[in-house]
Amino acid sequence: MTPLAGYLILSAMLFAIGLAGALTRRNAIIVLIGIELMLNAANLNFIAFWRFSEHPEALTGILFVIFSIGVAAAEAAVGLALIISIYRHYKTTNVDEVNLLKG
Amino acid sequence: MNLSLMSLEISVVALGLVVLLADLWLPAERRRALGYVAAAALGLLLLQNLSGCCSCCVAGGDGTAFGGMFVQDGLSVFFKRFFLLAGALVLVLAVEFSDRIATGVSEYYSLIIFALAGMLFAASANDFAMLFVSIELITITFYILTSFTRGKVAALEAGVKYLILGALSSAFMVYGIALVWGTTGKFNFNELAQVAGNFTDNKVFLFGVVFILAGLGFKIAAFPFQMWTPDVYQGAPTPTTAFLAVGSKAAGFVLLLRFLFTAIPSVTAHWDKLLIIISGITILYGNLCAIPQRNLKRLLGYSSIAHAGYLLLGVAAMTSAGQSAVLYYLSGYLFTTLAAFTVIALVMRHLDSEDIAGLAGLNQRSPLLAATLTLAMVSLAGIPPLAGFFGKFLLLKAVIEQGAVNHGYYCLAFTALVGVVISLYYYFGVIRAIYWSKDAASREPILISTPMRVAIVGCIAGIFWLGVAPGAVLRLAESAVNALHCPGLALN
Amino acid sequence: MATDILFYVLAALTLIFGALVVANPFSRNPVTSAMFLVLTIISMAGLFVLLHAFFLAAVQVLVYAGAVMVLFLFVIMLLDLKEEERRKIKLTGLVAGVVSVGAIVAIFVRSLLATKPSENLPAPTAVGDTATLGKMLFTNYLLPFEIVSILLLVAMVGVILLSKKDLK
Repeated sequence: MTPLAGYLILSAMLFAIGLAGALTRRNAIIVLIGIELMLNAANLNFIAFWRFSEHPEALTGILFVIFSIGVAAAEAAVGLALIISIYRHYKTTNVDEVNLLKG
Repeated sequence: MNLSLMSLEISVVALGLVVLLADLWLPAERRRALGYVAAAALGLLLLQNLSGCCSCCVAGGDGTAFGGMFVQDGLSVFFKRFFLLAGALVLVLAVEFSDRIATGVSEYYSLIIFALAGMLFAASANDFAMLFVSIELITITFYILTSFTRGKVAALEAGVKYLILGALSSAFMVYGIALVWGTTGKFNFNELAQVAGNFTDNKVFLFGVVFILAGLGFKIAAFPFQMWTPDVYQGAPTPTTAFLAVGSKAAGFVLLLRFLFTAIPSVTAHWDKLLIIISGITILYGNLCAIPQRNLKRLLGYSSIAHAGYLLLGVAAMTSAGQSAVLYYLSGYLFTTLAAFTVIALVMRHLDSEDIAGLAGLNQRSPLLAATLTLAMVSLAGIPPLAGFFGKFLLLKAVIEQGAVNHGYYCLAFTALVGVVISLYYYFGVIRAIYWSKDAASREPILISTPMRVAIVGCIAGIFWLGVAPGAVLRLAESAVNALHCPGLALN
Repeated sequence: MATDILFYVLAALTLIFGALVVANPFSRNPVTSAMFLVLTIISMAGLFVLLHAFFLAAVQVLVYAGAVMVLFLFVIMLLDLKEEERRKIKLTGLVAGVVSVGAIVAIFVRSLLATKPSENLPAPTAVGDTATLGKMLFTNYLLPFEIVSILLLVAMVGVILLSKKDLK
């Protein structure tokens, strides 16, 4: 197994684990944690591709990871604030029980 | 480095910061009017942009900055004017809405301005890093704007649903960007275009493209990624919904156009069938699901899915006629949708739900609002001589012209026509509620403030103007899409 | 080769911890999930070191494990979440989820192996140089960097507004 393919397969599996968590768990916090796993898998992809790229001195992949980490932090913060607000009203963080809007 | 290209974006961000800070010194009762000031400032920026165009933009105003990741061309200028106009109208609507915001009115205004800044950056994004950060600036700001009336449970629920699905789609998009960058080694769209042809049979690359399209499809509410739309449209405060329907969708489309036709034209050329299918299903899904809806905002949510489908007609046609039709249709959609949501915000002020029955007797309560909503519905349905008709005409024309290449385009045009016929039913349901329903809940006339009246009349004028005299905007749209096909800007 | 063995060990740890984050057979407590995510992130930081991205390895530990996960734990404890009740698993939903996720991975891994992206690439030479990184961040990539700073400001304003207790 070539090293790059190893990293890519690892990242694909991690992405799938995160996706499965986000789709099957009902607790909104765990759903967010699953999404964090997916973003981490993407970051691993970037770094692996950067390391094995033809122009590693360009560092563009690493820069993108920095932006991605920053955005993920902002997203997590807003998500958790929303979950706190939801919890005050519903006394739950279960996404199945938050279903006023439908039709 | 060419910072003067970005003077508009810098001014808008500065305006957002000023509004955010002005809150500290203004007495509480005057904060409400801050929205008018901000809207006026955006209007001035728009006027300056319009007047500046004639002298410099054509000759030397185009260019790139930051190594080609920020590009100022006809397309970005067109969309920047679009976003500025939408932002100004939404701010006026937000002032009207401000009595229903329990806390942080000026923060609401400034977040709208920051979302607008994200859209302006998206219009100029020519690089995956810019695409990603501008799309996230828009989306994360909208999570907050959606839940802003946090006393209302529906707004919180809409916010959390939007956040979970939005975060999921952005995770897909980052993963897709990683794969595309990893296989090609290019971030810049122009550089990517030069090498993308070599990767058309590289499955990892194609996987990446599909994942990026999933992220963009979420923004425009195209078929498999549309689940959030009705819930978020219904639960969010009305100005947020209006901005989401117009600005966020248009930002998704400008990025989609740039990605498909500037970055990977050689791949897009093979994907006509996929685009045809997505467009057709989106049109049918949106229109069919809209039929049983009783909540006006939810109905417009489904209708906005259908309109995303119509707009995808122009993308699927893959000709510059199709792309300019997309731009034209979006301009008509701007006036129509903002007019509709303005009326909803004014009429439903004292009602808890936005049920269609609440429109009863609107004709007696305010003939202006009744006429505005009627015109908006007629234009959305696509009946001549209004903006929606001419836009749909251009889109269908572009698709049928391509029919000789691939007969699927004829099926797509037929599907779109079926969609239009279905949509007549529910749009006229709304009009019937305005004029022909008895037992109105309230008969008191609706007061409309002067800035609001100006905005409404402006929207009506826009709907008629784009329907009757399409020449000027159509020429602008046609010259704008030229930027997609000949990215002749040298990379500095 | 030591690095190869390290890769397999860290990869296995990442996958095991990652799986325990989303499906822990012993505990449904959100705190356990969050703690396993910390472990996943730390093993990923190890992988980053193997890939010579030293700066990002540090950022990964500081920002993700240090800041984001503390935020998660803080919220979980603030809300005093009880263990998630074991609900009746909707069999159709579970099967659909597993099948679709499995299909994505299977197609992806197969296409990855079919294309062999690393065949024509030279041996790795790069070193993640923090000084160059900083220089790029403040020259060519200044614009996205500043947009992210606006984004963080927006997030800060939003979080305060959304989670403030009193509605006045």
